[in-house]
Amino acid sequence: MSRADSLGEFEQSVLLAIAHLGDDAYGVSVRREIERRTQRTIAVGALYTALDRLERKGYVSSRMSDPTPERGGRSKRHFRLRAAGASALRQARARINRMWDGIEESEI
Amino acid sequence: MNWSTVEADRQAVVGDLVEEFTALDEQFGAERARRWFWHQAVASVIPGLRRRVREVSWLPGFRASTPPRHLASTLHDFSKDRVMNSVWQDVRFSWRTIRRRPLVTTVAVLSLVVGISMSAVVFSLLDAAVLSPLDVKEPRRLALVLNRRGPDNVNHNFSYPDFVDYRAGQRTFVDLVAYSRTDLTVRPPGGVAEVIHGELVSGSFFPTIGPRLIAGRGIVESDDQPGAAPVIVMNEVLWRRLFGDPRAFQPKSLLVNDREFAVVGVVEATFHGMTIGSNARLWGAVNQQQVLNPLSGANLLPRRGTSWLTIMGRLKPDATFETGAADLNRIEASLAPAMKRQEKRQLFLEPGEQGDSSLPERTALPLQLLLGAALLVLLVACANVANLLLARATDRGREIAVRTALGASRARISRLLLVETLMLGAAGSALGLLAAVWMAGLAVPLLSDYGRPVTLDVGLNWRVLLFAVATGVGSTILAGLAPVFNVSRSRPAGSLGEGGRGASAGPGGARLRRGLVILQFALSLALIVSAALLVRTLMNLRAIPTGFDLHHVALLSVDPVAAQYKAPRIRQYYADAEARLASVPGATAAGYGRVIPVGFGGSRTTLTVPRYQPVADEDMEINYNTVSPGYFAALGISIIAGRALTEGDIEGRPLVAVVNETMAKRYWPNGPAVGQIIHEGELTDPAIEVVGVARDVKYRMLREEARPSFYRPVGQRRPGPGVMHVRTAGNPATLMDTLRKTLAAVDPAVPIAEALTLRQQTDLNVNDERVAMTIGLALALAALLLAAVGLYGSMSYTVGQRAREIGVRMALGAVPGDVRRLVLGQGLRLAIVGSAAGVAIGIGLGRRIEDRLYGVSSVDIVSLVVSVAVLASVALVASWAPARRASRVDPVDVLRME
Repeated sequence: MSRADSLGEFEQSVLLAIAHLGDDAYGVSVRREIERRTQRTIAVGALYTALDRLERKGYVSSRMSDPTPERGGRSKRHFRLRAAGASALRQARARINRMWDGIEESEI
Repeated sequence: MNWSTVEADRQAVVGDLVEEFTALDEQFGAERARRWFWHQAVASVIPGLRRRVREVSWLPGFRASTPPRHLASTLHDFSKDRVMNSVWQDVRFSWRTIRRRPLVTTVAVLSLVVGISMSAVVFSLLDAAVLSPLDVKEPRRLALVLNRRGPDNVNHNFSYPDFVDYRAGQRTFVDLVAYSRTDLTVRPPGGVAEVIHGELVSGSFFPTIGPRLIAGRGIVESDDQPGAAPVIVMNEVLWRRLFGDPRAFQPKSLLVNDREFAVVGVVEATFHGMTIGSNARLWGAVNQQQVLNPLSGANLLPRRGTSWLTIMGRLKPDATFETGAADLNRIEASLAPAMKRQEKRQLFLEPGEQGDSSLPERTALPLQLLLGAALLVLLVACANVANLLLARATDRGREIAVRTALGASRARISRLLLVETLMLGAAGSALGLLAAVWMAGLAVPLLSDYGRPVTLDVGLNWRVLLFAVATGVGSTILAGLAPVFNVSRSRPAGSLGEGGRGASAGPGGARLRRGLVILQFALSLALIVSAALLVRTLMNLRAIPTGFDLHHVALLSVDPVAAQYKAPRIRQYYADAEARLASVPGATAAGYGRVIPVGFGGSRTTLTVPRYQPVADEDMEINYNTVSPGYFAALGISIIAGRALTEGDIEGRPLVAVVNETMAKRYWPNGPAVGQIIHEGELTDPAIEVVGVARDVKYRMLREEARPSFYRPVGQRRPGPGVMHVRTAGNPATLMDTLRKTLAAVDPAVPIAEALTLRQQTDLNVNDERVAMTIGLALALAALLLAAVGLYGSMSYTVGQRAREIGVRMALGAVPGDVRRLVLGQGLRLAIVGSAAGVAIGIGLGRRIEDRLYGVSSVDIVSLVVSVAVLASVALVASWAPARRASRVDPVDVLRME
């Protein structure tokens, strides 16, 4: 299995957040979603770095929306989970599940 | 935050930050929002920078992945694929821009075409006349053998026995060759006799020198033996004219100097003989000298004392010019005792890649000066292009400002502008080169080598091509620099802020444009001043009194000696020719002369005058001419004492001579010259009585001091080839055809070498000056035209830009006349400032050509005044149309545009 296919933890979080948000996934909402669920603070720059990487891998797609007034007339960059991204997520989950097989949480 | 973020994402990222900041501000207050923002800003800089670094890097791993589409359109990217890609974008964009402005583009390209073609023409002449070696095998290993008898006594010729001995004894050369130029009379089957230049060559010539044969064979050793069958080799050009396609070659027979020769081979058209600029078309063996070079009629081959051959050698790979010369001097020393030579001579070698040619040395300096002038014209052209590009860049100020605001770097925008300039430059260079090849062909007939027409293969070769590319690239960069320079100084915010008013380049751009126009006028003026000096020189030279009736004489050169006639028959021929020519309607007199007037050469003899004591070092070798009785009337030379020569002055009667005024005054200052005695040679030689004194005429050339010379009757001297002089009532040029036909009818076996008017003949004397003047004038006019276009463009542009100001002035009461004066004044001011600088440069250029001037000083007030006047009127004409346009500005229209 090549390294390019494996997803880091943060990348998985980003992809899952986009999956949760559906049509409403853009910088602010993705960041809030992750912060809300993981209780971690995320830098915008780091988020966009990850998003770019995911887009290059073909896991998400993005498009610029119309500018909105609350953003000072700036556009949003909307993200959407692509089929390759969904499949990568499922593989990552399956991989980690196989590692958990046969181990009870209490045993650790 | 801003600079650490990739441009394309800036909107999204900053948008996100603003949105959250606002949300936090509303929920928790400004304090918390600010703290959050700063935290974000600091935390994002590092990953942001990392992304940015990745965007600009061209690591293979990165390139392999597909860039997101929105990044591909980024203005700022440097990966190699993308650079190529975006250069292509630039090219397409520039093409669209160029097509949108056809007039500007045409003017810019034409300016470059004029500048580049002018300099390429002069360069290709320089290349062909000065730089090119002979078209032979490895010309750099050829050495020309010369001998020196004293510090200033260098001789280029050797005798045939010298050549045979050098060749037999030498050890440092692959081989030695000997050759001699000659004029041959050729009578093709069923055609008319004509004179064709040729060379006599030794049997070693073809294998050693190696001109390329395209059919048959060259002259070989067995052809160059006493009694060998007469053979000849022909240049492709002549073969095509006489026999057609050389691919269907088979040996032909040809009458050369009335003997039958077999044409055994054809050399390539580009080989014109061993002299640069010559047009040798036939090659025969040295051993055929008595037939092919009969001027003296004698057999020169056994004569040790008659030097008539040029010797060249091809050095062996290990030999140098020094070892070669030492080798030959060794042989010369061993020969010397046997030769009874008065002076010892020292042999030396010179590079032989251009044969023994005077043209390269003679034309190098004038052509270099002209090339310098041509490059100045190119500079004027560059200024034009720069000006146009600058104006356009200013017009595009807004577009460029927008690009800058969107993140395009100055380097990126400079590249866009450079691509555009390069496209103009490429078009200009290509068209300029085409024009140059065409014009160079027209310029070659202007040149002549001491009256002989010059044959040069001008055209595309790698040197000319390299020069054109270099000037093209150089001028493009030069022209392209100005707008780029301007862009790198412009402030986008300013341009954007000016909104609909149409950006102006600011004071810097306008000053640069004015400076370019001033430069153009300065250079043009300098070139015009120089051209004016050359024009005055030519006028002065042409006005030199010659003593002849310049405008009513036709000259026809003939050579009855080539027809193998003996003296009585030749005299009869000249008598018949004189009678027939004089009776042609429109002709008033005719006469024979051995020496063509002002033809650079002539006959000289040592003179002894009884009772005259020459001062030390006085040159007693003086010019003379052998003439028929009709000669003086034909040329309009008046006899001022005694009598002219008559039909009675023939062999067996007392020997007589007519002397010129200078000679009469020099040798007999106290008494009449008529009745005095002179001797050609020593006192023991026959006495010749002076029977008349003729007015002085120019003998060898226009620029000579009056010198003694005398005339002898053709009836008392051995006749040679010569010139029939025909006096006409009207313009001799109109009668030339009839005269030629009449003369040809006298004896078809005698070829007419040349037919021209006396004015044309004297003009050959000023041919170098004429060439310099023609090319110099063409360059000056080109520069002036370019400067005029530059001024016109600049003024038009300024008027367009100042339309609003002019509208306001008119609204405030200025009348069209005021406006016109305003614009004309501005144009004239530029021209005057340019002229002032140009006068200084012009005086400098004048100093450079001082040696070439005649009767005019390098600082010539007339030339300066005329040039400034010409320049000022051109400036007025060029500003007139923009001025008129300005005066017709409708204030209402202009102000409504606000």
